Amino acid sequence: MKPWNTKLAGALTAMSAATLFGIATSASAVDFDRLRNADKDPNNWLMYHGSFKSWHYSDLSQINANNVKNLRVAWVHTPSASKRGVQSFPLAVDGVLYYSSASGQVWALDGATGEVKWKYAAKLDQERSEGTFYNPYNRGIAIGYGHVYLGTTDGRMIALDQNTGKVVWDKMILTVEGGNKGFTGAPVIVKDMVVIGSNGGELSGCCGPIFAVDAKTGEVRWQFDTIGGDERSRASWGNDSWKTGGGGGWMTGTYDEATNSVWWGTANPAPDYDWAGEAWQTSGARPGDNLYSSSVVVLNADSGELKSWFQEMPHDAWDFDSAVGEFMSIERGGKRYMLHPNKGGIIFVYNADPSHAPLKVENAYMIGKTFNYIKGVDAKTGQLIGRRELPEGKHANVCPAIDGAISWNTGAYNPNTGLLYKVGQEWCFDIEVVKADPPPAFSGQAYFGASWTSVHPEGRKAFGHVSARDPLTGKVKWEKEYKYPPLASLLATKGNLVFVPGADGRFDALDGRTGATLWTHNNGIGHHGGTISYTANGKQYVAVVTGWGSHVSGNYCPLFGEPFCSMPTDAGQLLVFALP
Amino acid sequence: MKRATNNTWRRVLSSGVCLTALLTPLGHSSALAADEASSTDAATAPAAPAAPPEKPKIDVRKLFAMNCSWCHDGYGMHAGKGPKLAGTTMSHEQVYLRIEKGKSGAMPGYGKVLSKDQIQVLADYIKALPSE
Ligand code: HEC
Repeated sequence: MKPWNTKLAGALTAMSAATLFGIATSASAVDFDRLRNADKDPNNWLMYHGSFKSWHYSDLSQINANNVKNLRVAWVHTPSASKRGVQSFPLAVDGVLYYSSASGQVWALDGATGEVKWKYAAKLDQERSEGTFYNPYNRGIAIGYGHVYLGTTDGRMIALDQNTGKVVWDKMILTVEGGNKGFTGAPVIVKDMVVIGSNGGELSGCCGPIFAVDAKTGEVRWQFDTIGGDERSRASWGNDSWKTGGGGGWMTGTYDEATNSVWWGTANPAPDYDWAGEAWQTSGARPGDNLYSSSVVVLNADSGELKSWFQEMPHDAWDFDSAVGEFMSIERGGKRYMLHPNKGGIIFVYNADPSHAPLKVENAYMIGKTFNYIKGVDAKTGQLIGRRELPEGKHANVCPAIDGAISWNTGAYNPNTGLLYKVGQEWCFDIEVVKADPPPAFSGQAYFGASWTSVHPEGRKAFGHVSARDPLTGKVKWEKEYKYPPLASLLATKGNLVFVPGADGRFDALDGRTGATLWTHNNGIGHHGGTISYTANGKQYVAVVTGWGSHVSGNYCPLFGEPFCSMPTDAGQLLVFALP
Repeated sequence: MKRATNNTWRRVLSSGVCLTALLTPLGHSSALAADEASSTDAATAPAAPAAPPEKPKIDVRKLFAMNCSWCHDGYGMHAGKGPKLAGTTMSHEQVYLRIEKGKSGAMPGYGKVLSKDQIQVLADYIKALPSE
């Protein structure tokens, strides 16, 4: 290095030290105190689920049911290479908007104007990333301690400087020799750690880990294996089948401060599908319950030790993961509850106290309407009633289809209306299950054996709905049918609004009290990512990501035809709306 | 580093035991072939054509169900996450290459997971699907 370069480098180091020091005291420092109190900070959207309560609720009301008709586009940002659309959640911190797009790109934009502050693009191991079904999308980031955290499809965690986008650390977390697992979900900051779960329900290999890494250094602090990690789990997979068992936790869970616990939903077991049928307890590819796949796990936040769990789909025969990330924390009558939606169309209402092991189910109700994989769910115990197994061979009209009645995007809860807003999707499939040969243990190869065709429910066309209901009892206040089931996350606001980013490109604002459509805007392409609200310079904005091409969205052309058959799957944007 | 659970797999890997032998396409395909001997599948075959006679050992429908049906519905007869494969305008060679290499951001490549014979049989199968 030439002398002047050394000097420059020295000056830069001094500068960044000053900047770092500055961060620690400036308004933009997001420490854990701010994150703990995110629910009382409506100007910012500090984490994937908005706050640890996971309400997807904004306490802003400049934009409200009376004036939403005037809402219009304030600015737009177009990221590069949006393969399979933008599927992430933007975060807003002190007037700056941050979001991730396909293949590990991160953008920092002025929240009022959209002006680009910085861009980061991860260099990925393309072969590893492209070897999975889950490429190249990224579902979001976490912000704290002056860093922006990102997981990658090739198994790394990266911390970027929040002000510059420069890499602070970049660590390989998930080493799968010869396999193809990685991270697509958003991380969440828990105390001085960053927590993230791996994908891979359909991939052969244990252990579907959830990691907590040190927020400062990226060192792994603990690892919880969703399968094969303890005796109870191993005993529930006959013939050591946990070694090819899938699992994982590919969406973002939450932290419950009252019990110092991390709540996370886990993915399905492999193979998808088991050919054993009724005899699954003792025979087939994975005899037994297959813990802790398709379950909720509650972990000690400091050690990662399992405190409690509940398996929503014992021996999951349908690929109805519990990987949906949202755990809505609701208090009523002095009692604390955790709500968790399952892909099979069930909302489980748990007692939030993890000293019950397994978790105590306070209620369980179906929001999906078209189902025959079970007859129902026991509201008192959460146990499935009247299972329909899918043994080797053909099965017609199984409902819902593999895509589930509830997809991975979130609902919303408004504490003022006391209502839970949630999307349900209704279609079925004809499936033939074949006896898949197990790939080598731990290999990370696909472990899968079925072929299917999506079909309309008997007697009517596939459809979707957004419902508003009491979160604990499930009692419906209103319900609105959608011709095309929305696949994106919902946002509830204090202005009595519910924002619904639609499949056909329409972005609706509904009256949260009645379900009436108050405003709609055509964003020109379907949505299957997040929507948030924040302020910049004291003005309220609503941001939403667009783009199409997820696995579930692949059903829309065969089921509905246009506009889906010609909808691009390599485009997407960030759109930001405001009042004039 | 604290580990909450007993992770056998990770211990195996970090103790230097080489798993590579288990991961080769050859290992996979011979396991498949061995299992084929005892498997009957033809009875459940729908409209789509059976495997070409020159490759009697590879059950192509099963191979398809195990690798492709996540995205290509109805054994390639219907659009799903991936396009309908019946009636593809690609040549046999292009189909082979697409399976081997995949398509960035859309479809994984199978060059590492499947043997040349298996890819060949899949390409034969796809090209033989009825176009309407
Ligand atoms: C993760 C989803 C996925 C999986 C798994 C997958 N494909 Fe694909 N496939 C696609 C998509 C998406 C396309 C369309 C790519 C494009 O042109 O943009 C495609 C295209 C193709 C094409 C080209 C069709 C044409 O006419 O353009 C062939 C052939 C094909 N796939 C065969 C296979 C086979 C055989 C397998 C299994 C070994 C397989 N695919 C597994 C998603 C998948």
